[in-house]
Amino acid sequence: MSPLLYKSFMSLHFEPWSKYPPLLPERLRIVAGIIRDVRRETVALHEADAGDNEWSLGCRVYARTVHAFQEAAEKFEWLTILPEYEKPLRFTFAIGSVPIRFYRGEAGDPPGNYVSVSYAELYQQQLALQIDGIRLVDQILRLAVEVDEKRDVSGVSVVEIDKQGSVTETYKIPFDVELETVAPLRSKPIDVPPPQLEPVKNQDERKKLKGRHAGSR
Amino acid sequence: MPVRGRVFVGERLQLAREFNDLTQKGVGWQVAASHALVSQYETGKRKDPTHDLVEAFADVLGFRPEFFYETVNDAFREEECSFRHRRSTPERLKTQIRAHATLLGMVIERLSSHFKFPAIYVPKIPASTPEEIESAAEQSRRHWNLDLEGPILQIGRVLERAGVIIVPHVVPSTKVDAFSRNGATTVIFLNQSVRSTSRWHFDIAHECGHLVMHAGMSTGDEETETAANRYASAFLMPRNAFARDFRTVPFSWRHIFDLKGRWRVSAAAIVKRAYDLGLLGAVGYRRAFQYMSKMGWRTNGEPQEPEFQPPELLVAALNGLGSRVDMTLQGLCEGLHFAPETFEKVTGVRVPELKVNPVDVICFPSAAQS
Repeated sequence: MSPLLYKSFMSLHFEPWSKYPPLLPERLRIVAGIIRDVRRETVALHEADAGDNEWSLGCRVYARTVHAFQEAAEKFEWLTILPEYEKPLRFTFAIGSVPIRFYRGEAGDPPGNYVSVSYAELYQQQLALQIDGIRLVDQILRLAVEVDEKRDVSGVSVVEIDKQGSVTETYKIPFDVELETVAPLRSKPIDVPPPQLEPVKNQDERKKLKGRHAGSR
Repeated sequence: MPVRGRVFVGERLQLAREFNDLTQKGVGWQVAASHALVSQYETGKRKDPTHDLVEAFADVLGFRPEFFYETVNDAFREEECSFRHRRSTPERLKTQIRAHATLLGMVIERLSSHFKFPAIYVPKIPASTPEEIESAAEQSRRHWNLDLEGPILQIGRVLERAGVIIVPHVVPSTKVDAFSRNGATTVIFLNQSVRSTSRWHFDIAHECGHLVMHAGMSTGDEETETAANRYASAFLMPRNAFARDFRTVPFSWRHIFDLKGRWRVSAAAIVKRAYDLGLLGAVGYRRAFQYMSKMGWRTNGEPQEPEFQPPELLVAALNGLGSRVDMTLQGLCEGLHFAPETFEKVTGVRVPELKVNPVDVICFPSAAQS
């Protein structure tokens, strides 16, 4: 299905949390923030002159994002990392009971290898049904990470995909703070006035100063 | 003329010799005396050099003979001085700078009876751990009524207003960046032969760190030097304000140089500060320094150096002679018994030659008139 056609099937305002209650807006914002921040930090380390290329950047961003998710999972009880025994490099996590994977690409055009469902994801889908009554048999959820020309994350979207691999819903997660809209809050520089140097007025003052210099100053 | 009945002060001979970076043997050779004799006069084992010998010492070392007949009131002792230098700095260079500083102290002492220099107002806050140093730097800012947010445009003025005299000295060596003395006269010597204004800012803050944290302590070891560097970073780039600035956009050299223009420190100091505050990881830090080395900034200097406010206190005092007070530059030089060229070497200010007033000259009558 072409990216233009899929939009006609989607509801006007898809809100993931109304269909998948664990996907609360604040949780989605945290997850999107992790993806954006890790990519930003990793891009800063990219050195084309030293041999870095798009492949090495992609690998590094992926590994660091996985690591950041693992660290976040220790902090947030609603975030869990699913064990992918078949393909250890595959990364699937769950927000509450809902399993999700992320890919780099457009929201309307998920890569084929991200449409397949792993055993870990399938198992989590069953748990979602048992725990929260969420039926995920016909749908899978992905996060699409879109990147701008500066290689920074321009948007992270929740993408709902049906059995046939067609995108049925998308929701662009708003970031907590949009980088582009932040005007740097910069304090005023401190302009220090010049030191004062007064001439000594009379002989008495001179004697007093001489004493001070030799002693306590 | 040496004054009869007054005692020759060997310490002054040593001071003059060290200022000229000469050995006892070197001075002895120039005045046709043995190095042993020079040594005996310096240590006071012999106290009665002949008139001719004193004249020779004065001539060779750039002073007037009377210079050797006055006591040294305020010698810059080793334990009072802190050097920001490289490990390879020769001891002889440090001695020469200390002698220079002592001579400058004499100039300041004499100027102090004509000008009211700001009273010393430097906080004393011993600190050794990173957290203590950060806190000491913040307390120092509060002490001088500087907020914890903004970059300081003129770091030198902060110290000069607190009674510390900053001297832009010229040492033909880049092995010593700066030097400070915490004593009766508190002075910071800045080596401006190192042509980097961002480094000068950092050097002043580094010496300020010694004055604040290491009063009465021996410095120069790795621990005190690292502490003074950390203090300088923390004083010039307070942690919260700097972190906020650093994080506004992702790491890029454009951003680093933008920060350099704002905080008036080197790109290297910014990268180090970001690393110390955990804003930059170890890998990023290492890469950044590799890049700076590759670009030659570490050896040839960085681009986009900030503006620098030259030290003002000493210059204002010397320029005020003759106009604001009843002493002239020539009078000061003569009173100190310095040769004019020595005065220039010590202060960086040239003593103008006395102009002859035509009214005071009585012309011989010409042949035609007679």
